[in-house]
Amino acid sequence: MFKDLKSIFKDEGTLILAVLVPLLYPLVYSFIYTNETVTDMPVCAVDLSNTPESRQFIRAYDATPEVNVVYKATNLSEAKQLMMEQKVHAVIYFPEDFAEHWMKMEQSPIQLYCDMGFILYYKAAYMTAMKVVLAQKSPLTAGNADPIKVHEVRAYNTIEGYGNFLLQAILPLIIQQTLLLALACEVGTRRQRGQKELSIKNHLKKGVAYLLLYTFHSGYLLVVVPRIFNFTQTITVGNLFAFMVPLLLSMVTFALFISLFFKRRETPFIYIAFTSIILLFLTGASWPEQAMPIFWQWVAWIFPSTPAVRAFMRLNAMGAELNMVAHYLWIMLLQAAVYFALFIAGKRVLAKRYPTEEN
Amino acid sequence: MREKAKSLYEICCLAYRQVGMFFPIVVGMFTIIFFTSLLDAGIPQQLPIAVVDMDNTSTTASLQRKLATFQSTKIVANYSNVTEAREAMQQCDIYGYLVFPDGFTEKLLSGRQPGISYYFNTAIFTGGVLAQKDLMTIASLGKAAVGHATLQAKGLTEEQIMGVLQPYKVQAHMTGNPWSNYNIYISAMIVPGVMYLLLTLLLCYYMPKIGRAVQNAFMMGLFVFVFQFYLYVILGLPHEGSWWSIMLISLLLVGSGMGFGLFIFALVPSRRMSMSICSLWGIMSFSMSGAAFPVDLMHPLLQGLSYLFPLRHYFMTYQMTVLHGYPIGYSWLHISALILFCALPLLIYPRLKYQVRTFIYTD
Repeated sequence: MFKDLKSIFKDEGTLILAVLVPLLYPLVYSFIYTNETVTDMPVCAVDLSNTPESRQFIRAYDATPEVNVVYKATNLSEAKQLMMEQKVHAVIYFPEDFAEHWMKMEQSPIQLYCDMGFILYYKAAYMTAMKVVLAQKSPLTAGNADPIKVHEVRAYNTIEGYGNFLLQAILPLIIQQTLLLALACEVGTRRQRGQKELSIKNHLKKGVAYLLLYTFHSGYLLVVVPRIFNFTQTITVGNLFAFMVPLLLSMVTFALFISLFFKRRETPFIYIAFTSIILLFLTGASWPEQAMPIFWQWVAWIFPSTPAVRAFMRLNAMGAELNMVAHYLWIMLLQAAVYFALFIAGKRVLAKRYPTEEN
Repeated sequence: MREKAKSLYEICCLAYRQVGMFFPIVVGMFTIIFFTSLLDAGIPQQLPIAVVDMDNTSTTASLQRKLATFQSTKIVANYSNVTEAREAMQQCDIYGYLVFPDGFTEKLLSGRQPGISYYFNTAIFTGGVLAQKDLMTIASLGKAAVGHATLQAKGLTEEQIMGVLQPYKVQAHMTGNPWSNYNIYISAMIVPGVMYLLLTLLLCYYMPKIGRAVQNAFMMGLFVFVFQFYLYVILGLPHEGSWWSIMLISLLLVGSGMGFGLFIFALVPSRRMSMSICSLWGIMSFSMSGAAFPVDLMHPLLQGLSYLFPLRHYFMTYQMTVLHGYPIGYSWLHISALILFCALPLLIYPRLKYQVRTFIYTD
């Protein structure tokens, strides 16, 4: 077993996949998203009405942390030019008759042209404008208080950070994907070199070596990395261990099963690397699980990453209790049992076809 | 029967070895179908949200009825306390909820400005944002509905009441993607990104057998075109740019992928290392393209590094020329960068030639 652990470090391929990537990737990812939110996005204002009210609105819009009114254009085509040059990502436009509407006690429309190329810019420009609008009182009734007060509460990810959201899903996924790659690479190399097929016992020993290594990795990925980058961290020590046991069992058995299929050293790159992005979508982190077609909702349960990411996000990002995610933990244990059985069955088939080590 | 199955299997194996391009075809088709069908709804419909009504009066009930008319969210539960709603949200059964506190109606009638609160889940981004958008509108409508009665008594018309309660309204113009369709956002970037990643990997895997390598990379690249056809013709998603611009960016993506792959092969003597670099680059591309999180918001160091990712230039050219239909001159910088990536192997042609001649595979 320790021999197997040593062989992970001795081979350049597995060293990269099972040691360097899990250690460095999360740091790079967290660094990419380190600014977390849209701040001071460049916006152009076009104010044809030129009234105190429109100027006051532009000031209020500019004063928000999200938006920075960097240009004031005299007409829309000038503003569109700035948009095409990527100098601004939204244009706020007050038509000439802006004041006439509210004076007649009608709602005055404010036109907002959004750059739909960047969803975060669109969201920031639109939501911020909505909030400023909701906070405005009619100049005619400025003294009156609103009939009700509205409080907005951002639950969990209170800064609405992008990295704080995405990394919670990516971290457990890194565990699974690097495990798959490294084990498939190691076993594939043996087959490519024409070495005998590993006996069940020795193949399992490799799995145990990875289990040990990844116990360390999951501590690093699930605890240390979130702490370094100040991500939300609501998981308790007890819950972490309760989560890690089914997590590692399901992912290692899954990797053992997948390693049966690789005959070459480099093919795992081709077959496994691109699945990361597909598996990320299947977890429901980017696209709500309720909005997925039912077929893909079922396909998602094939992979340990689905219950793992869902459980981790609830435990670590939303402060859920263990009993709320118990079904995910059971699913991971079930996956571990199924993949273990499939692995054993697969090994038996391989033993009949290829020369295999004696125990 | 068994014999037949066996011979069929052998025929398949033979065909596979002959063609050798089984993988690009299957994966190309799968990726296209996976992303476009997953995001088929465009934007999530009827995302579950809830109401917590601790006041339980006819006033709050009538307010709630006004909430039931939104497209992207649906009220699935009515809880009597906040704990239940919180627990449901922690399990992602709901993505947001609105709270009417105890004594809401009483305060309202006596003019003591009661408060309502809405909570939304920011740990799941898309779900939370959509819930926020609807809840925000609901809360403002609630405000309007409440103010309604008093102003009506003063003799104001319906329009005037809205004008007094909320003097301005935002009219958003979402050019290029008028329904904020996520299929456009996500599929249009991720599918070509996957093709690009696999194209560079296949090149490095099959090199120095140039014929085999280019054949596979070419097949993978063909699926970029298949995808554009599927997205814009079969699914009929909107595009402001012309077909020429779509062809151009697809061609440049495939070319820059081939250029990048060959460049890495020429520089790095081992297959394992060149494939590691290509997969690192390919996977990072999804983030570094800036399609999800804008590059302008990243650390200056990363802003500089983003120029080294062909997918970044593809995304910028795509959003400017295809999505918005801006004249192609505006993306000259990114187009030149892509052309440069296509030309990379020519720049180090002697080294590439040497590498093809002398490459010895070691594991």
